[in-house]
This record gives sequence, C-alpha cells and structure tokens, in this order.
Amino acid sequence: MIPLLMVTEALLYLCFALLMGHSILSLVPADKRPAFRVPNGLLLASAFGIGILSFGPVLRILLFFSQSGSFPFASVVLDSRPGIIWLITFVASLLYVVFLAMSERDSSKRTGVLSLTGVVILIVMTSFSGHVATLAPVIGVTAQSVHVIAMASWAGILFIMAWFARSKSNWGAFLAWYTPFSIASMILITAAGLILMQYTVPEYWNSWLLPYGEALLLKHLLYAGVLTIAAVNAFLLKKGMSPSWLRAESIVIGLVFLVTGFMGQSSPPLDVSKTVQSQGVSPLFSALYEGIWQPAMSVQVELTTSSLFWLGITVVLAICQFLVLRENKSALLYALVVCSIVLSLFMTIMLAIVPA
Amino acid sequence: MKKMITAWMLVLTLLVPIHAFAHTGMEEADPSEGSVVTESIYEVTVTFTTPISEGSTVALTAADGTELALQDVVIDENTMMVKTVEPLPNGTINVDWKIVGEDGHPIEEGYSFEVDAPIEEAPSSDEEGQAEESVDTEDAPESESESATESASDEAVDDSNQLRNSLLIAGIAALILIVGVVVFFVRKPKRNE
Repeated sequence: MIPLLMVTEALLYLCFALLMGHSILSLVPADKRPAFRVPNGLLLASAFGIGILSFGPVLRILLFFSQSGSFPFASVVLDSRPGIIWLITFVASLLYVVFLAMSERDSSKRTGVLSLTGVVILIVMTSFSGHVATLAPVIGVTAQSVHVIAMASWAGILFIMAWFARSKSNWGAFLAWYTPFSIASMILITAAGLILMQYTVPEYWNSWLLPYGEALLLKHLLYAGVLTIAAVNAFLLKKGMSPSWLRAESIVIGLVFLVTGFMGQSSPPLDVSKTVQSQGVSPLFSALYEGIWQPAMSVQVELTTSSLFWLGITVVLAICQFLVLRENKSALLYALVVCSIVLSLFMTIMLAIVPA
Repeated sequence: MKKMITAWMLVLTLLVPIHAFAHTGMEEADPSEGSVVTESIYEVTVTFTTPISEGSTVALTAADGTELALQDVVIDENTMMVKTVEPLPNGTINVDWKIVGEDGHPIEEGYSFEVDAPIEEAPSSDEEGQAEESVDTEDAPESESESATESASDEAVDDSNQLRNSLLIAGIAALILIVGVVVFFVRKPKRNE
C-alpha cells in the first residue's frame, strides 16, 4: 500500500503547485510573463484532487484497522484527528472547485487574490496533519505551511512555464523577477525544512539507519540536484532559462515529491536506538551493511572501500555532467546525469556508515 | 573531510532542541512493565503519550501463547483499559496493541509483565474453595449470559458502525454529486458566451 499512498501524496503536492503557480501568474501583469494557458479542466481537477488525495492519511489508518477485520470508516473520519482534518479539507476543496468553476473566464485581480487565498488556506489545512503538527502545534503547522507554500509558489510557476507557456515573449521580463523570487523561495523552503527537521529527525545522523532518515537524505541530495539544474538555468545558459531545461527541472522536482510522499508514510525516527531495537534497521541498510548493527551503536561516516568505489563513480559522473553542460546537449540528459550522481552519492554515504 | 563532518554534526546538534516527546509510545501501564503481580486481576490499563484513535485494538496473550478472552476494551483519550473475562493466568502476560496515534501513524507495540498469583489447582484455603464453588454454581451461567449479551452488544456496535459508515459515505457521495452538478451548470453558459 505504501507505493500507492506515496504517489497520492506526490500528486497532492503537484495539485498545490499547479493551483498556486496559476494563481500567482494570473496576478502578474501580462507584460512581465510569457503568455500561458492552463486547461481549465486541469485546474478544476487539481482542486478536486486536493480533496481526494488528502484522504491518504485516513486511508492508511483504515487499512491498518482492516487487518484486524474491522472497518471503522465513520469513527476514523469523524473521531480521529487526521479524519476530521481530511473532512474539513475535503469540503473546502469542493468549495474551491465551485469557486474556480464560477470564475473561470474572470481574470480580474480580485479573482486572482481570492484563488491564491484559497490555495493557501487548503495548504494550511493539510499542514495540520503533518508529522510535526502533533509534536509542536504552532511551530509545526507554521513551518509546514511555509515549507509547502514556498515550494508550491516556486515549483508551480516553474511547472506552468515549463509545460503551458505559449510563447517566449517577455521571457527576459519574467526572469527578472522570477530568479530572485525563486532564490527567496528556496531560502524559505530550506529554513522551514530545517526547522521541521529539528522535530522529525532529532538524531539526524543515526536516522540514516531507518527508512525515513534514508529517504530524507535522498531528498536532500535530489534537492541539491534541483538546485544545480536551477543554477545552470539561471546563470549558465546564454539565453537564460529555456522550456526544455525547465521541463527537466520539473521532472526532478517530481522525484522530490515522490520521496517526500514515501517519508509521509513512514514514522519519523524520534528515538533511533529504540526503533532499531524493536524493528531493526531499514531493509536497505541491512542489505548494505556487512555485519550486524547493534541498537546501541551510533552512526559515524568513514571512507570505507566500498564507499570509495561509489565515490569514484560519482566523480566520473560529475565529469560527464560537466561535459554534457559544455557541449550543451539536451537538458533531459543533464537531468539524468544529475539523478545518477544523486544516487551514487547516496550509495557512497550509505556505505560509508560505520559504528562510532 | 572528517573534520568538516564533525563540525557539521556539532552545528546540527546545537540546532536541535531537547525534546521530551516520543512517537505515541507507552507512557505507563498498570501493571507496569516487567512487574510481578501477586494477586489475581482482571484489568490492564495502558496510558500512551498522546491520545489514541477509536478503533485501536489490543490483545493479551498468556505464557502458553493462548489469547485471553476480553470482556471490554475502553479507549479514553490517552488510556486504553482492557478487562478480561477470566482472571489473568500465572506466567508472562504479553500485551500487544495496534493503535493509531494522534498524528495518524499506526503503531504496533507491546509490553509484558508477570503474574504470580497464589492460585493452586487444589483448593487449599476457604477462600479458594469459595471461589471455585462460585465458579461452579453462579459464575458459569453468568459468564455465559454475559458473553451472550457481550456478543449481542458487539453486533449492535457493528450495526451502528455500519449505519454510520453508510451515512457518511452517502453524504460524501451526495456532496461530490452536488458539486459536480453545480460545476456543470456554472461552466456551461460561459462556454457559449
């Protein structure tokens, strides 16, 4: 069931991004952005999708209980915290669908502001069911909301420009505000993400022994990959960003969504040694680590022979990356190399783990 | 390289505030973990660190692996109260729960304690004799009728659960339908404009 819930969570972020990007872009004066057209059906589907896809956490609980033969749908939806949060989000998303349908051809500023407010409200609502929201209500909801809002603004504009731009007119004027805008968004995403990490992975290094921590490491490496593609986009390409590079970047962002979706399904490693004791280390780590990891051990990073091997591969791939960039080959190829680097770096780190 | 990593570890450690919470684990239990109970009891209460969801389940197993019949499981905020039909048998009792914590994460955990109550097979004291007698005469039919009402009330709970489920599902479906119709009619005229 985890793969399904992982995909639904990733799609939820995609819905947020599309609606957020569309709302912001519709508020930007037409001479400061290329012309674009997102099918209205897609916007309506995204709004409806938020209500359906945010059911994931409730579905997880129901599946858990159905193992023991019961199906307490109503009691979970009406009496549990995730259930109530979902019900409210669901009703709100339906209202949002109606609003979008009513203001379909209306491009006034008021509509833009209202639709932006709508997405923000929906994001804040779903933030209540985040991991940290239950640990530290105020900081958790705030940091989670800021994290997702900044992500959706930055990635949403990128998605729409990558896939729905109709011309390259006003491209320069667009980049003039979008580049600083994305840098500000990235700073917010990173800051809020670090705050969330204080709660979800209090033992950051030891968390690499468990699925959640490993996924977080992979996510961080992928995020670094996205940043390199973005940097190439913004500063290295002679003509500035081009749609094909934006498309490549948006695909890697999609991978980040998927990894985040996986993290949403696993428990944050709050007490690593206790979790290792009761559930053991992650399947990935036990496959990679030679020997048996004792719960009392803590993680240290050291260049072992096998990690050195992967580091070598990483270096070779980095050279490839440079060559692809210099020859200015396809953006998709560049993104592929970046993802390979991310994976080999991930392997390097996983194999470099030794007990302290 | 190593120095840099150590420096980063230090920076991150300084950033991490001290947290005294855990992921909806057990806070305390009565009887407590690893304790030895020397009297015959019918009740186990587990308190968790956060409220737990309705529908959470629990199982008590005796040392020989048999699952003990439960009379009642009451969930109230942080606590889960389990009542057994028979007194807990001597030996290790494993308490295993499947709960859903406040953050919606399913958790399967458990703990155990020992029971060493002075109950002998043969009645050695008056009290024991009386107890046995009462089992023979009164308790047996009573417990039978109790389990009968128990299953009846179980069925009633199941029925009302099913009714609530159907009502909620119907409500959600109706809501989606209404929104669908509204969207259809709201969009249509604009298309023809």
